Amino acid sequence: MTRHLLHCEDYKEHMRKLAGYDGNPASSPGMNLIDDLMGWSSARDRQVMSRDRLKERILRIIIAGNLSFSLAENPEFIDLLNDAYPDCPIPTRKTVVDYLHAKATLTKAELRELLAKLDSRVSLALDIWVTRTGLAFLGTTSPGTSLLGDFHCNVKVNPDVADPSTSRYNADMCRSHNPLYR
Amino acid sequence: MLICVGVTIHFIDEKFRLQQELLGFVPLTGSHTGEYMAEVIYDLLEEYGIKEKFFCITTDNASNNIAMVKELSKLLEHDNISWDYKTNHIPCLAHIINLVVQKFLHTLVKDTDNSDDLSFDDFTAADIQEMESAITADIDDFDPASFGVILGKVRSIAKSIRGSSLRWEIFQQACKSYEMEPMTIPLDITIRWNSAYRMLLQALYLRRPIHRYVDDCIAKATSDRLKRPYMEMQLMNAEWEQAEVLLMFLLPFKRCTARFECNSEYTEIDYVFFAYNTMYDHIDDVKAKLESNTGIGTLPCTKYMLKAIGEMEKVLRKYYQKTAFPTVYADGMILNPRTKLIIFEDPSWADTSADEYSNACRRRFVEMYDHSNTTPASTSAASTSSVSTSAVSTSAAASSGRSKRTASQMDPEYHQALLSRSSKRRRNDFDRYIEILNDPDIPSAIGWWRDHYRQYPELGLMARDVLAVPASGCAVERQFSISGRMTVWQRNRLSPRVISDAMIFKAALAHTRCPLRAELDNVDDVDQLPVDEKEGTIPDEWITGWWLKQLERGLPGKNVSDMFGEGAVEEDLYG
Repeated sequence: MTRHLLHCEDYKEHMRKLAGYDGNPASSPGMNLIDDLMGWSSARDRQVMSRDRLKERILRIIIAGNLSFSLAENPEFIDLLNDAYPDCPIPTRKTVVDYLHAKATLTKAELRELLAKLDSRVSLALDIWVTRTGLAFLGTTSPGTSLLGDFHCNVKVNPDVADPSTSRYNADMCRSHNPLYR
Repeated sequence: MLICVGVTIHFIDEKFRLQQELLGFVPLTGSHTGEYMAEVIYDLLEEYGIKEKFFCITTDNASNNIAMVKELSKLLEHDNISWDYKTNHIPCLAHIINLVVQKFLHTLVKDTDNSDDLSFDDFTAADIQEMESAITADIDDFDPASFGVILGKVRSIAKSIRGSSLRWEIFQQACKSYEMEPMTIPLDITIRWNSAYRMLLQALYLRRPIHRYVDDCIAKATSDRLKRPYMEMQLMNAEWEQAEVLLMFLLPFKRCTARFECNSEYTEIDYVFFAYNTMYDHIDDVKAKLESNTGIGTLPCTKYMLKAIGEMEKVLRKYYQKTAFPTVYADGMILNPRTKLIIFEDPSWADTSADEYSNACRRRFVEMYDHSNTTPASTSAASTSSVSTSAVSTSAAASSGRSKRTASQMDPEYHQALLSRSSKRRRNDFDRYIEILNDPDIPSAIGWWRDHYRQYPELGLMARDVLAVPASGCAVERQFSISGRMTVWQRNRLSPRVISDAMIFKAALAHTRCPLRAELDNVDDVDQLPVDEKEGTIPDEWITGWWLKQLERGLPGKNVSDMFGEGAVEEDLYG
């Protein structure tokens, strides 16, 4: 039976649909074909790991643990995922960040829907927050232009440095803003 | 440097559950003026479609926030939405308490704190001799104005313990010798008076290990030059005593702050007047004791304490006067079945009578929530009703000509009783609610309304609106603690959009009980000392014992003496 399912194109197609497969040839259904087919319980009852689901899980780990998005491209982490889900394509860092934007939009839409149904009034609380490190966005700014859209980086230009886009400028700014250098 | 405005939304849903969500974490560009921030808030209100549902906004007392609410009022007016910024702007009470106590501490610690930065400069033997004699001198020689010196010494000890792993080991041994859990002393932060309180309390708890630690360090030092900083750290008995007085004075403020900081389960808007009352009572009590020339009135620090208290009172009065504008303080208290009008009925409450508060609250209810078009509730209402009913029945009888005797003429007493009950049934939710006696044993106002809103459906709606207003902006501060952990300097390439979206998604994750959810510790406490902070727990028994000991000595604390009574410590503060 297993041998049959391993080569059965109809079954593979069915599982691809279940897993939200997007046509990538590297993607294929889970390994335990009999379990998948029969829908057996307990350990066998686990959800099929789809590309979207894996993306979601990685995003949750990164956000909940305050980890760097580069975790998604960490070779050891990729090896772990390949071992656990050999047939599932591993999302890139950019994919995970794009997915974060999509999830945030969805979260806002859900809250909007909830508030639309609300029959009482709402109150707000607000405050201003400033990042603790002057290092934020240091590497992405240069005079006159910003690579960050409408964000304006309030970093003072060191007058001793002729060209603020040089590595020396960045190093000087690192020293002036990083508490470790003070 | 990135500047963001964090906005949380607060409401009570139809099942009477308090909901607090992160509405936006919006990066600001350029100068964050009040006009600019008003536009940001207006856009958020529009994005979520809640302009008409918008009730109150809680901010700190920064001038741009005042300008923001004024501008926001104008923006909403363009949409024909009447939003009065004077009654609907709530100043954060936690910030106010911070300003009040900071004023006290700054006035008290105005003398220069030289011991903060102990240096290992070379000293002559004469210097050491002078120092030793100063330490062993009569306490009459002690400078009574030196609260700053005391704080500086404790700060130096805290830094010293965490300054090297070797010294931390010495301190651990000192703690163990007294069978105490080894813990570091948290450093104080200039902008948060709570941190100074924490530092002093921990130091007092660790008083014996600290003495041993300093003695051991002096013994281990091989030269006079190395001994000097430790000798400067030594605290004399008179200094410990002053630290205790300071701590006792600050304790009620700490309790109030703690109450308003922990507002994730309850907004505490109905306890604002109680908080002011508690602080005023405590200040009056301490002032009376200091002026009495007995007990703490005999301490050398008396005149300095009195001066600092006078200064803090001015700040407290300034902010208390502003409570006259927002209506939710009084409405919240009236709509809390635990309190109702009880504080306004107290003889010490001289501002406005309980009836005035009650009538104003009733008027707001009738104007905004009562859709039953009831007649005013009172005996006059009953008589009016009686008259009108009689008139109607008379005219009806005249027109029909069926009977010449009305029901009231046939059986006037019975008819009057029926009318009275009938009018009572027609009275609105507020009138029926206000008649019930307040019950001090009710654990939660929102919980009570969950159980009783069917009896008062329209007033229940008002309670949902009012009790959802946050008395402090701590919900936003908690979000900032989270964002602070996210934007550490190693992650300096995060774009504002990613930070904003990550905060929104993280807030959503918090509802899913994610096991990897980051701890919400105060990130401002992170410093660069070699030994990490090791937070310990001071046993409750020790705090209770210490408190009672201070009371026996005649130190101030009468008004909060019940806080260590039976049951929940925090709940007992307001009695």
